[in-house]
Amino acid sequence: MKKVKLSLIANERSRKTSFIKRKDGIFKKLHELSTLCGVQACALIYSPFIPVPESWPSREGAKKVASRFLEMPPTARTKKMMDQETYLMERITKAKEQLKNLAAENRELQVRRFMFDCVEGKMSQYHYDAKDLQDLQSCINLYLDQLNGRIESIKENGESLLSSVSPFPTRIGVDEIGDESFSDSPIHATTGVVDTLNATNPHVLTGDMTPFLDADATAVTASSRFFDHIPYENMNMSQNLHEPFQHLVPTNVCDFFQNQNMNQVQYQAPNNLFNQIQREFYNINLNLNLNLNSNQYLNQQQSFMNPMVEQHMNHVGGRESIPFVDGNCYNYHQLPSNQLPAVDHASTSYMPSTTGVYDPYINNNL
Amino acid sequence: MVKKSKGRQKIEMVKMKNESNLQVTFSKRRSGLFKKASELCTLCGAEVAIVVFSPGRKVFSFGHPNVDSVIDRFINNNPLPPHQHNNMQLRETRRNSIVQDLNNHLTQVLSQLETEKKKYDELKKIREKTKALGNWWEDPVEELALSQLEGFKGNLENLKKVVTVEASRFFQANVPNFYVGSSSNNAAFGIDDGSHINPDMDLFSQRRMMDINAFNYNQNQIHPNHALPPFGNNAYGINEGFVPEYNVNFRPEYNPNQNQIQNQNQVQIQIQNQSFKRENISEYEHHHGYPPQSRSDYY
Repeated sequence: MKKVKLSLIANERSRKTSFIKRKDGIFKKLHELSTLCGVQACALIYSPFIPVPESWPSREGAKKVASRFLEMPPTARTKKMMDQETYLMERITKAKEQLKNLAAENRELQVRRFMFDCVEGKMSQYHYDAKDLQDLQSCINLYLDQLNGRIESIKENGESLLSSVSPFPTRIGVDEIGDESFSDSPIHATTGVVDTLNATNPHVLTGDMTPFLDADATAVTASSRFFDHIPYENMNMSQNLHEPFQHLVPTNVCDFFQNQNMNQVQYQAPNNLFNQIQREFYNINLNLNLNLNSNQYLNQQQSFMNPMVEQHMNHVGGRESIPFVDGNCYNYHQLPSNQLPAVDHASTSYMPSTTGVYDPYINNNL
Repeated sequence: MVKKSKGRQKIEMVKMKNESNLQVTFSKRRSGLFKKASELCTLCGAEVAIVVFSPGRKVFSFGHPNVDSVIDRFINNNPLPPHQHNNMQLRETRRNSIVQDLNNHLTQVLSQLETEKKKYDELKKIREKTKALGNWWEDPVEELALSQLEGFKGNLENLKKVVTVEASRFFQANVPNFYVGSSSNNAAFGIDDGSHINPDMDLFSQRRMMDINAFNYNQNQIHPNHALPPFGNNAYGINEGFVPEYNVNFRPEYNPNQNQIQNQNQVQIQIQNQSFKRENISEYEHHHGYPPQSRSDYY
């Protein structure tokens, strides 16, 4: 059947022909309706082509029905009255309702088909998402309820338990209903069920899903510190890149250049902060193996602690806004001249004289 | 002519005797009649008015553009359309536009309905095919025997477990990724905007403050440098500047005997401090418990 486009027919001749045919069709339908149901009806049709209106059943008959229509109270007359707009809107509403119901029914049939295919071990052939799995769960639960209800009703009625049963097939297309030996053997029936489980499990429980489940378990059970541990591993790799140089440099001069390069690398990227921390952690272990003969080193180290702590107390407020890592560590040694007096005062007040031995080392870094 | 089947049949064109059938017939045929009238208006641009009195003495009417206007025109024997000024023409144009949109919408919905019906027929066809293959477990539940019911029930319960695992996998696949990414971003950029309450992040901030103070300490070294003679400072300081780093790597070879007796007690105190701080370091907090004096190794 050819669908007619619902719009004005452009060709005037075709339009006129269509008008005549459809007008006659409407009059015929009107005749059938009034005859079958024994009701009064009339139709008035004005054409753009003919000045005289077409009417049914006749001019006098239509006038009579129209007069009866006009004599009715306005409320009764307009209650069931509709024009093309209201008629079309009503039709659209009905069609949408019908569409929604049919779509829901189709969805149910699809999910049921999906369930049966999964039972037969074909789950891997489908491309499903979370919504499909959710619908499948609902369908399985509903079907299990029906099965349980049916089983209970059979047990209550004491129906026969001797009906023939074919084993649950492990492959599609295997028709074993006619096989008497299978039908009569309970052991074979049980074996069939077990085989089905084995056939079903490899598609779902092994392969792609198991490793993902392990990953999920780790992610769900790990505390927030687990993720803090990840950068630590990166630091190990970074740290290892620097270790060989320390052991390969035997002289003081080369050691000096090595330190200079390391400082630059560490202060230019946020990630290198962990490298620095790791190095200090490494130093702690070395310090635990102190030799009693290293007296001067320890003496100097202890002297450093006091000024550092006091500096923290004095300048914590003013230095909060200083950016920690902005590329060049040398920026922190280039203070404006107007701030030097305060720093000088702090230095004079708190720094022991023995720390002077380290000035040239820092000066060389500039 | 009498047909063999009881499908669609021609009916006799006389008034129906069955009252219930008469009502149903009236309702269906009236709808069809109005549908045809609507199509005539749309396709041929005709003006139509249809009035039908129902068996219950109610009146149903359809008209385009309006029942009253068409009837008035008919009663008054006016063969020509009434004189239309600009306002009426604009109204007519707007009405036609609305009707056209509604027709398009209706066509679209009906085509979707057709698609769904085809899908329904296809699913029915698949069911017929599987029935031919002898899949008894797809029959209605009422037609199955007890052993069949229990067997299929077991299979269905196993499938239920599998689907539950699969569904949880889909659900968790979204949450952990977001969490991991968020944590990594914070760690990578060192951002602590205060909205994310994380004890480890707070410790990280404290660590950052300590580093800032370390730089402040370095700045204080600049001024004393000016008070010392250049030659003497360089000659003496270069050697001393390498002492800490040198001893870190080659400590057993360093042996300044002159300070041995004087600082022996300090050595013991230092060792105890190191041990005490070492106990506070855990696997995940290694970077929070380090002693501050270790930084001196860099300078």
